[in-house]
Amino acid sequence: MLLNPFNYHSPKTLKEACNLLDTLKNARILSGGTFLVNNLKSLKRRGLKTPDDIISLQKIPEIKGIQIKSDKIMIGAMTTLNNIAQDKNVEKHYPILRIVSENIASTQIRNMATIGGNVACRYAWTEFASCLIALEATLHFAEKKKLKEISAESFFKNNAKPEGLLTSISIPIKKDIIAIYKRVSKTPGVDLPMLTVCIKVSLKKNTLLDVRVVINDGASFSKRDVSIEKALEGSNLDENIEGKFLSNLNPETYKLDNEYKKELLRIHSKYAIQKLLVQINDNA
Amino acid sequence: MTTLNINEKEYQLDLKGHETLLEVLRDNLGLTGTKTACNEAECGACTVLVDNNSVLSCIILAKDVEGCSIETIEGLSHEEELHPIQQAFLDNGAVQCGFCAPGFILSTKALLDKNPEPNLEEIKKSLDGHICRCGGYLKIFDAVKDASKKLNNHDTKK
Repeated sequence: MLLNPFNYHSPKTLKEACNLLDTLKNARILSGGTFLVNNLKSLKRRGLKTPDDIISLQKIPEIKGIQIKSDKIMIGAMTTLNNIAQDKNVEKHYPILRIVSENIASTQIRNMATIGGNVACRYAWTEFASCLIALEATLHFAEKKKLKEISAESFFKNNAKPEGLLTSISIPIKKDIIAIYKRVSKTPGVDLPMLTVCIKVSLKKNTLLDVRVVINDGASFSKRDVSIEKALEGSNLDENIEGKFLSNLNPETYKLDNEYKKELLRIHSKYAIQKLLVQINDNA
Repeated sequence: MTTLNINEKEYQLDLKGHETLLEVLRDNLGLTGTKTACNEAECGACTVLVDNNSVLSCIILAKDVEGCSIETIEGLSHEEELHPIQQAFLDNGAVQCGFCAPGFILSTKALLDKNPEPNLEEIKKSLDGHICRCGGYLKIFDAVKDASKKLNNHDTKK
């Protein structure tokens, strides 16, 4: 037996799930299962207490799939990473979401793992965090009697207290947005990221606006680098953007415990900003 | 009772909920072609297809796939006749100890169903969740290319 016995709940609607969550305060939520089921095995192996109740969200169709609603792209929390990577609307509006999805783990894991699980587990290195903060995403939660919204930026903070069930993630669709994602891991194959850099700008008349630069150091939550954002905001493409970016990057503000990792951040930030400039050129 | 649809056959099972699909396949139903190896979603030996997508049966709860169509390595061959992908693996020497083969073959099937003529990069990408401890990756990639040819010929003959 791989897992200790638990009460398995499989609600068919979101309402039913919220009611269950309200009565079973200590229940764990199962979305794709790629983190949770392994975690349950590890608890059992170490002789630790395992949860009594598991609420599986697999059978709730209303929180699966990707839709365009007016000026937003809505991604249901139970949408798998490969569904995101293969979606036409994602490819049309935000191909960066495909790039992020494709970089996560292996094919089988991407067929199971969901964006909701990836986000709601709140691991520091969670891959989607940087990109969702950069794209100004909003996370939608449901509780028994209320609905709540929280920006991805405030969700990935140490003091955030998420409650309820993550139901969907919405990202505003804007024109002229260019976003790039750079990921560094120890091995080229299936591996966790050591470092991710995400840059988003909107380009109007050769000027960079709404700049967001989000960096994840692998040890703490993804966060915006406000000093780089300020330096780039309003810059014209004729200026030395790469120089501005790099002179405002301060590796000391991140949890990088040795020189090697700091150098890694400098080098990959350089690649990232160069990639952004190439993409701006290609789009022109 | 839980009804699982495995290889186009329905099985009625009395499950409590904490059983993984891997345990149910091997221990309850005797379908031991699906292998247990790492048990922690690293190696790909326990790969099965759920609604034509390759997934890891060691981290799926059997009750979660009720109502889905599940395919294991046992469902591929027709009596004595091997599936073209299985034949391609044999013809190209892609099976050494054979422990990883069922997983590789099922992932290959999922790939070729969606993309009948994949290039080497696409093959590598879709087999990235498998480990072959014999180190026979190059033969496996050859086998996938050969399987793609065999299946395409097979389709045109029809």
